[in-house]
Amino acid sequence: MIEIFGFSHELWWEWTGIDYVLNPHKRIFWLFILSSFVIAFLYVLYKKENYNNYFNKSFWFHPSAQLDYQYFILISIIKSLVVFPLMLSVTDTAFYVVQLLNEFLGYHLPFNLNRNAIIFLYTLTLFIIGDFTRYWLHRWFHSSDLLWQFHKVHHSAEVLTPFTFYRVHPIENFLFGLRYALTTGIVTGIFIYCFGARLQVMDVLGVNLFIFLSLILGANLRHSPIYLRYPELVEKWFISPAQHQYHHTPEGARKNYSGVLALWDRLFGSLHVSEEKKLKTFGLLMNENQSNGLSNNNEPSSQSDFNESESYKKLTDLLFKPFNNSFNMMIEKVKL
Amino acid sequence: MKWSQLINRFKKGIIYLPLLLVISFPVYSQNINQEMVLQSIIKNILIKDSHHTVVQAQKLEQFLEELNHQTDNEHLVRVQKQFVVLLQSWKKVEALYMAGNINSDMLDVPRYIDVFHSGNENIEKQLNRSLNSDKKIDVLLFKNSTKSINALEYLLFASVNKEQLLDSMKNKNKHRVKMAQYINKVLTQHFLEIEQFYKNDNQFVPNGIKSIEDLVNVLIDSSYKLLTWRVAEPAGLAEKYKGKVSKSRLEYHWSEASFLAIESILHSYKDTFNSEAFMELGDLGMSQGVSDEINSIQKNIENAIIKNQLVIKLMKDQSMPLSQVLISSEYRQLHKSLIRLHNSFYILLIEALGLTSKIIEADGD
Ligand SMILES: [Zn+2]
Ligand SMILES: [Zn+2]
Repeated sequence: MIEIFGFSHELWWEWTGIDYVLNPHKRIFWLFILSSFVIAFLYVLYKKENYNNYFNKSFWFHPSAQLDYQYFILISIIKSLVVFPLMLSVTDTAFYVVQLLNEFLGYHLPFNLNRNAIIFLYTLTLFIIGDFTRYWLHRWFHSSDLLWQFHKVHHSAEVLTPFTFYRVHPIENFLFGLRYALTTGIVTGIFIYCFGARLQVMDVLGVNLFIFLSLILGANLRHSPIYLRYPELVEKWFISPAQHQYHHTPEGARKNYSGVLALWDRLFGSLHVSEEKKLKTFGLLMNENQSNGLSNNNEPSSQSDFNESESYKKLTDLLFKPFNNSFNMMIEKVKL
Repeated sequence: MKWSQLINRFKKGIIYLPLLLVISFPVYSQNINQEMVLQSIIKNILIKDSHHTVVQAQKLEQFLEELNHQTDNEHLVRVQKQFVVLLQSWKKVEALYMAGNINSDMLDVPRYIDVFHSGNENIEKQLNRSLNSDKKIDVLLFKNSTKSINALEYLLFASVNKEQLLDSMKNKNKHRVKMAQYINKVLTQHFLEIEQFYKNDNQFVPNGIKSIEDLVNVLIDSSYKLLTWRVAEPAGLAEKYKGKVSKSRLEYHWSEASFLAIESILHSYKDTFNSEAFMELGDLGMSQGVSDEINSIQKNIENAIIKNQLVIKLMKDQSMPLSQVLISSEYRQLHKSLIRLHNSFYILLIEALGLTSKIIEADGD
C-alpha cells in the first residue's frame, strides 16, 4: 500500500474521485462512460443530429454542470469520511438475520439444490429486491415534505450530466446506503440460512451481473442530454434514459421513480412513458409548495416562474440549504 | 465540430485505454490457488487423519486380544487408554467429514460409527441384555447403534468401579471382551472404507470452489454441533434443556473423554485454518482479501483450545467430578469461546461474498 501524507492511496483515490473512474462498482467507471459514449454516438448518428448540440461549452460548462463537478469532489470526501464510516455493514446485517433464523426456525443443514441454480436465484433476488426498495425510498424522498428538502439537491440540476448522479445530499446517500445494507443483508441472510456456503454472486468485474448489464447499456445516459427512448413496450418494463429525464422536469417529478425496472412504476401507478417531443427544462418549480414538485401541477411550467433551482448555485447551498429548509419547515409546523 | 476532429479526440483517449485497463483490473496473487490448497487438505488432513484412525483401531484390536488372554487391570488400562486415542482420532475425521459431500453413498457412514445425539435408542439397556444372553454376538448386536463407538465405550468403561468391570469381563467366557472385539472390527471396516474413499477420490480437487464451499458448510455444521450438542446441552445452556444440567448428555461421559474429544475437533479446525506444516484454507483466505476474518477465526480456535484445556485441567488436577465441571466458570468460558468461533465461520462466509457497501447502490437517483 502506498501512503501519501499518511493516508493510503485508496483513500486519496476515493477523495479525489479517481476511484470512481477505476472502480467497476461506480457508475462512472471508465467502461460505463465509454459504453455510454458509444451509445450516445450511435444515437446522434441515427438521429442525424449535429454533434455540436452535445459537445459544446455552453452545455458541459453550464453553471449547473460546473456545480456538479465541484460537488462531486466534495461529496466524495464527505462520503468517505462521514457516510461510509457510519454505514450499517452488510455483513453484520446478514449475520444477524442468519442468527435470528437459526434461533426461531431452528438450525438445519443447507438444502441441496443445484449450485448454479442457487447462484442465479441469489443474484436475481438481490437485483430485484434491491431495485424494489430503491423505488420506494426514492418515492418517499418525493412524498415526504422533510425528505424532499434533501432530494431537491438532486432535482435542482438544470442540465443533466453523468455527474448529476452524484449530486445527492449526504443524508440521501446515507439513507440509500442504509437501504442497501438492509436489503442485501436480509436477502443474503435468508440465502445463507437456506443454502449455507453454496453462495456466490454472478458478477462481471465484481458487479452483480444484472446491474452491470444496466450500466453497460447506458445508465449514464439517464443524466445526460441524450434523449434516448425505448419502444413503449420496453419502457413498461425498463426505465429508459428519456423516462428518467422526464422525472427531472418540474412537471414529471412525481413520475418514473424506478431505478432499472419500470415494473415498479407501472405496478404502483407512477409510470410515464416517454413522448416524441424533447424535454426542455429540468429543475425545480418556483413557489412550489413544500411537498415535492407538483402540488399545483395544473399550471405547466411556464418559463417565467421557473425556477427554484436558482437558489442552489453554490456548494454551500447544496449542502446546507436542505437543513435550513427543513428546520424552517418544522418551525412552521410547530407554530401551526 | 467535424468528424475528423471528433475522431482525433477519440484517438487521444484511446492512448490512455491500455493504462486504465492495467490499473483497473484487480491483481490476484498467483502464489496460492484453490487447487493447491485442496490438494494439500486431502493429503494432509483427510487421508492422513482417516489413515491414522485405521491404525489406532488396529492397535486397539491387538490390545483387546491381549486383554482377552489376560484379563487384568494392567491390560484393561491399556485398552482404555487406546480407546481414547482412537476416539480422538475419529473425532478429527468426523469433524471434517467431506466424503458425504463428494459422494452421497458415503453420507451415512459416520452415523454407523457414532450415534451421539441421534435418536433416543437406549444402547445401555440393549447392551446389558446382550451381556446376559447366550446368543451369538453378531445376532445380539444386529442394530447399528449397538455396533457404534458409543457401544464400545460402554463395554470398556461403564461400571461402578474397575474391579466390577474386570469381574464382568471375566464372566461368561469373556463375553464382554468378545463383544468389544466384534464392535471394534466392525468400526475398523468403516474407518477403512473412509480411508479408501479419500485415497481413491478424484473429485475433491477438480470440484474446486464447490469443495471449498462444502468445507465451509461442514465447518459451520460441525462447529454448531460442537457448540450446541457437545457443550451447551449437557450444561443446560441450550434452549432445549434450559437450566437442566446432566452429565449423561456429554459425549463419551463413560470414559470421561468428552473434553479430549472436543480438543480433537478443535485441532481439526486448526489444521484447516492455521497449520504451519502445510497449506490450508487460512492461506487461501489470506491471499484472497479476507485476512481479517481468517485472523479472527485463527484467534478464536486458539482461544477455544485454551479454554478447553482449562476445563480438562479442572478434571485432572483438581479431580473435579463432571457434574461440578458442567457448572464451573471455566466451562462457561469454553461455551462462550465456541459461540465466537461458530460465528466467525459465518462471518468468513458472508465476507467472502464481497458485498461491499461502497457500491453504486449507495448512491441516489
Ligand atoms: Zn427524484
Ligand atoms: Zn436523477
